[in-house]
Amino acid sequence: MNESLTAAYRKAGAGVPDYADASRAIDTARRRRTVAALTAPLLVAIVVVGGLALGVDRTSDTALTPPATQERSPEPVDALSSPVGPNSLWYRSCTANGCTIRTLANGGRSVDLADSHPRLTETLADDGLADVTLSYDGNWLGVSAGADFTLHELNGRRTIGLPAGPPGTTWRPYYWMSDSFELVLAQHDDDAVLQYAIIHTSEGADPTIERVPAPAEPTLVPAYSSFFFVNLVQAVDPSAAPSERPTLSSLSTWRLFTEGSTQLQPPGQARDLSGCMRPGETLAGPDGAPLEFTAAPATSTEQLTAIVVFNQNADELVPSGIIRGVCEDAPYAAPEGQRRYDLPQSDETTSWTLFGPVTHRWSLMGRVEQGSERMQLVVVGYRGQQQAVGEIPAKAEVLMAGVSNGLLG
Amino acid sequence: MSHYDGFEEFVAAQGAALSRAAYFLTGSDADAEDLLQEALARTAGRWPRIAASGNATAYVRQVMLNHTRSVWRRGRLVRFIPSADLPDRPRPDDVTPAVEDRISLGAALRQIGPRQRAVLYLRYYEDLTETESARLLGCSVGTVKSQAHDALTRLRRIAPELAPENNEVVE
Repeated sequence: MNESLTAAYRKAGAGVPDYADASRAIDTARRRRTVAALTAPLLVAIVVVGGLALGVDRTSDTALTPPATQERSPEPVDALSSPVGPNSLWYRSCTANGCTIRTLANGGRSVDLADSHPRLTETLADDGLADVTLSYDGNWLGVSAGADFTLHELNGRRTIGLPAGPPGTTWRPYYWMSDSFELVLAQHDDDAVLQYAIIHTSEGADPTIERVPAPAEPTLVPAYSSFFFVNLVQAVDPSAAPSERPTLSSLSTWRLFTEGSTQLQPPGQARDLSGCMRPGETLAGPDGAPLEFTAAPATSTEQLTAIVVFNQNADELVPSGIIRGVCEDAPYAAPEGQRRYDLPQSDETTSWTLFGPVTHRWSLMGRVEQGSERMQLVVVGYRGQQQAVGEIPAKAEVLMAGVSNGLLG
Repeated sequence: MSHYDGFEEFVAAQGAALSRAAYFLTGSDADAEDLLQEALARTAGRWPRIAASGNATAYVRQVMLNHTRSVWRRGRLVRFIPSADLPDRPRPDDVTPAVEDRISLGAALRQIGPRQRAVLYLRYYEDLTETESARLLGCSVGTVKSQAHDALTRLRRIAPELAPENNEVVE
């Protein structure tokens, strides 16, 4: 049958059943309104009681107990302990009764964050996690809403907001420095970048904002980061096929570099990673830029890195491996001598999704068996080991600390 | 007067059309039902204001498009390498030509990304211009063009009967 696509849609449309259920929609809406309505008067009552007897201020979200691993020490070489802690991952899970924002506690137990952060999670439960970023240390949550962006301290009460841009613009968070002291964002008007901003989250002091103007020539596509410096790498023309996306430019110098499929050339440092890659693989990610993560935490003498390698499978980019190493005078020399590890690949019965490298040794992935409604969260290690760290609904929306908006395509 | 006055009548009148939109945005019965119900729940929560605007259908459609957009921006896609068996094969006595067409198109749509599905739906089902599509999707006209081109290229490989070589709309 040789029909136009429009005719194919029309014909196929005739066979689509009516899924709409008004009663169920009203029930869901009523439940969400009831939850919201109950919260406000309860807080007021607590304030009155607290104000009279205890003087406790209950108007703000209760701070989470700081995680035990906040001052992290370097991982032992042979340790297989899970690198995924309570502040590594948030997810949004929806049922007929509504949506909740949850995290995984130690041991993989699912925890509802509404108790500790009722105001924030109420908004996120309704709007989703698409425009949200979580710092590596789990202390800061950034939310983009319309032309506004606000950064909230989860273990404290500091907040800072970026000035709202013109109507139709939006602030997109891109990356966190590994110590969670800087967040880099770009203000977008569609795909064009108007300006960049860096929020400095100083310990104990008020956060500050640093502005970085956009270049004279308008950019075409969003910029991604190299994760080492405040140095955004910009991809050009994402409509080109992955093998034809050659050009990167540096935010700090606005110079253009040519990126072959196996080489990265940031300012002052040429890095040839061809020895870690196979035919058909590329470092150019979904928007033409490499996806490179600074493993948290950074020590005083080295920064550990993980770079995602993609396989160009039928014009789709599938994460196939992680190149790991150290960025210093001898770049990408992995301590144990093994520079790359492979990621599990999807097949007919099992789907794998990469959420991102947690450290340079571990990457967090989700595994779903066909027909299952549950996703098993698995950390995949540099020696091929896999360790289950918890389970979430297969359709849950996931926010991983340090991995910013849309970074994995 | 109830908060939801008129909502059931709206759903009864527009449910079938919105269901088609949800299906073409997802390519799957299960996902389409989830997408549409979530959009209807959000609409019901704001019903008095939406009803007063007179654009309830457009609102629901925009909520579904926004959800699709947020899926691709988060970058997570649960997918399986396609096998010969289609997951939602109907019983033999349920198979009409329209159902067969739906399954064939749905199977093809599931092999392209959510952003490409949204672009094809707006351009080839809703018959919108590139500019109108870009406005609804919150992206540039260039993105709409490139996504449509990539989607049609892929469709030609996996389902040539759906997208012959000369099928692209020229404006």
